Amino acid sequence: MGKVEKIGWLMDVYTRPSGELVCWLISEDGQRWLLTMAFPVTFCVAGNPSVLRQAWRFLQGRGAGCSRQVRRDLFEGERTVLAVTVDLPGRLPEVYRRLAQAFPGLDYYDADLPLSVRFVARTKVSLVGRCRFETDGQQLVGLQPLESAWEMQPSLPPLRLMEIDCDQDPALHPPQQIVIRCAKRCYRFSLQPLRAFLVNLQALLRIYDPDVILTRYGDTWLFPFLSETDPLFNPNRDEQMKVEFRRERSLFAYGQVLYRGAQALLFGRWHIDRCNAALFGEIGLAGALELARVSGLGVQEGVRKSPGAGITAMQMQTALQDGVLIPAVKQQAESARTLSRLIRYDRGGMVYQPLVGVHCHAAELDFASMYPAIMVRYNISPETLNKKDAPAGLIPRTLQPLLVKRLALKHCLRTLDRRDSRVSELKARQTALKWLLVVCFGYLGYKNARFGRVESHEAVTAISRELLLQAKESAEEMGFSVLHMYVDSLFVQREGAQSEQDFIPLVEQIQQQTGIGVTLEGVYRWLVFLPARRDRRIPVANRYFGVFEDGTLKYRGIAMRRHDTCQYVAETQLDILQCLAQADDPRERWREAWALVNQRVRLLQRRQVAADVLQMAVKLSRDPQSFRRPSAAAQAARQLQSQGVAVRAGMRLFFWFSRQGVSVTPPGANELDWNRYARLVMQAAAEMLDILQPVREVRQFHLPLSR
Amino acid sequence: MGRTVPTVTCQLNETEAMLQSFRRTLRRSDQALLDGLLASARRHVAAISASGALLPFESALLAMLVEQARQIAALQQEISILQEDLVRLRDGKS
Amino acid sequence: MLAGSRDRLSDAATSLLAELALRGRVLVFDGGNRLQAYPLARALRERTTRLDLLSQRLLIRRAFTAYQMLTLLESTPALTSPLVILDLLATFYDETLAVGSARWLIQRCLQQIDRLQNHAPVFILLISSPTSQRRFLQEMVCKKADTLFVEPQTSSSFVQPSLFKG
Repeated sequence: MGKVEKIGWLMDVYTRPSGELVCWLISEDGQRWLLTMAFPVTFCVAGNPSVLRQAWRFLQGRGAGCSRQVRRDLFEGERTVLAVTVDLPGRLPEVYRRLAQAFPGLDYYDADLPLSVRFVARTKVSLVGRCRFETDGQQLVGLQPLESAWEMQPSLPPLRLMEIDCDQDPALHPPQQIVIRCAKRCYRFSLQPLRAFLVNLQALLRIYDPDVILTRYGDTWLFPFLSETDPLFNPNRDEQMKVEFRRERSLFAYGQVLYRGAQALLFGRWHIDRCNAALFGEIGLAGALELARVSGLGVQEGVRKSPGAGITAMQMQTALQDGVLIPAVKQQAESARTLSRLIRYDRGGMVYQPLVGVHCHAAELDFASMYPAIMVRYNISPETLNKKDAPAGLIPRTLQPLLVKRLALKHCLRTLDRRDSRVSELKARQTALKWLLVVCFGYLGYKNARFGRVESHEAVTAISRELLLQAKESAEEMGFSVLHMYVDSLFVQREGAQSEQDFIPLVEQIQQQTGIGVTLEGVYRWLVFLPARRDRRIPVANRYFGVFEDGTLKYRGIAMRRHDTCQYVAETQLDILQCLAQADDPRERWREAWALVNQRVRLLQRRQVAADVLQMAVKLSRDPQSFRRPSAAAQAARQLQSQGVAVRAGMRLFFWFSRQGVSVTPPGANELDWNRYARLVMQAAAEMLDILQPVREVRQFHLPLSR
Repeated sequence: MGRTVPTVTCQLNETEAMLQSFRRTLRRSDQALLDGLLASARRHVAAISASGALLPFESALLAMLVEQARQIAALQQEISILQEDLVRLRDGKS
Repeated sequence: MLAGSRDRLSDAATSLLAELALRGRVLVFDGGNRLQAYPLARALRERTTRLDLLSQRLLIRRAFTAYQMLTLLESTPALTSPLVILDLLATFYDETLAVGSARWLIQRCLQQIDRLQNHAPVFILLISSPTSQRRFLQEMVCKKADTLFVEPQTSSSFVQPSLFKG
């Protein structure tokens, strides 16, 4: 084939076992391309000159070219480095690993970067980005971007989607049937006989040739099962590749134990397991594409990893484009501080305790992406700390376009009617960007973040506290009472102020004073701040419920927001809120709300509630063996283990309360602990309604629980 | 991550735990008053935190005093209103 | 060097830092986020009314990774005041740090500690290793100590008292 030029989209990049780079593209005419491309990659080594010379000698004859360069380290300035270039990018990890093992005392840079990040930084073609490419049918010989990652309305490749679902949770029961949906058709197959199923699946893959395979349990069961059953089964579009399997693991991060299920990654097409992709439920495919577009991290990686990986990839891109070295490990340590300075500055965002009780016509004001906005406006970056008039640092330059795009998407959403067909896609994209912004602050102080620095982290929180205080002062000067403040939001009220127009001047004043965007989230018809459960005199931050003037409900910190609350209890609270929302003052509907609660308790007493809405969820905080007391989580874990299910710390377990304690399989009506559920319903109701109790009212509305 | 210094809320919890022997020795009626004092300090955790004091309990004591001053001011206002009502009543009768 | 349980070490660290601060400047490297800032402030207050002055004498640097611990040690010039290292090995027990790298890093750290202790005393407080795979790190550190205090291990198993003699 002679050279042809095409317009299309770059979907993914990866390496084959030989080490060569492969680009997966889709052209406008609908053709799918898997093209190799010459793409040498370089990592750098710095340190003691004599050791570097030894390293140079070590690398001779190991398939790596060496040269001496002067490059910039963000913290140390210019450094003379040994630049090691490997022609086949897939071979770099091995070369790096051997060198690092032989010479652990040297400093390594650009050594463990995701390949897609390197590729995007060098070619300026974003993933899922529109481009012009030239090929001879086998190789990619030319590639130019036609679109930036920051397009508000990027063009979308024509993706073919296949969904594969099984009828059971494989962790509990072996699936019997598989349902496959593609191009508006639905196919139902029995898993047995297995050979027939495999033939059918392979045929469908050939006929429909999907770009995206969406599954449930594809990572943790389907693909591993198929691979064990038939080692020749290959769902990849690139037939030279095997499915890449990654092991499950539990890790301690962000102050909690996280569980990452096993993964099955494909080549030439994407596999996304809905049950194993943390963000996918919230952002869907549109959000996953947006994430890949701006971060440079492949779609399969991006949906499985935390948003922190995405923000790290973005920082790497900025560093690569600037020629700044990216250290393999962070070594910078914080400067010395006295005890008094440590106590003064080692603090988080400002939390101003709420005024407990009912408040009418209160407004909620939110700073838009406060922490990232602070990082950009005040130029907070590890290399700019304590420097006046420093040029824009790496972190602010990474965040600026992200911030602008997210705010633009949000603004666009606000102008659209709720029923507009563009809303869900815009919302998904906006949410994906929101998550990147949410984690970027945390990563500034994260111990393993390449460009993190704890002093920068503290600078951001210090500025945020100051800005919130300025907002409070502005509000008070304009005659408002501040009801509550929580990190980046404040609740205010003023006699006579009822509509949004009454609060706009305050929004503008705060914006002008702080230089950070502020939005009026809304004006509540009424709002209730709740006290601590153990003592009603003690206020609790970020725990409230209310109804806006337009009837929208909002609630934070109560049972129905918690992941461990069963659906029946959550629905009870929602019913209560909807009942209260019909009044101008929730106290007027206190009796009706309790009547509702008692109806729901009666249904439990009559055993007229389906088991599936009584299912509880709990996250296993540690390995089952290390539980000393038989908590619900421990009991559930041990039951699953006795059934042969592998259980690890960080996993979410599902169970029901039964007469014997806990059951991981749905118990019959006679086995469920109905009293326990009734108590949970009453507790959830009291959480919301006790504060509204008329002062002289005697509580007459609790039905006796069945014995 | 980087947080070494516990939150003021944690500190107040610890202080309450440390005061358990003191509390226990008080009469029950006085125990309720102590609980109220400690609860009142929690309304001002932001200010206690902002003070950056090496001994946050000192700022917590100030917060309790602020709350007491507020309650006194409210009571004084109620008394004034009641006194005015009393005067009006007396004037009305005479 | 002092090795023992988490609670005992926290109390010991607080007392040690308060006593040293009475005498002059103290450099503190916190390897496991063990510094108890408020108890330390209270301990200082128990010893002196000049809390503000003494709190200025404590210079604190924290390490959140083993590499950062090495950087703290390497970046410290010859000591003029005592150095207290809280939970030197905490970051070395991180599962994401390969055992080989941990070994190499602790060797470098111990070389730096050797250098620093020529000019001023170095106090190291260690909490026992949670896994046997990394216990060798504690052994390496303890071997280097001039003086070693080890908290005696108390048996956690309950012993059923016997009704009968013998």
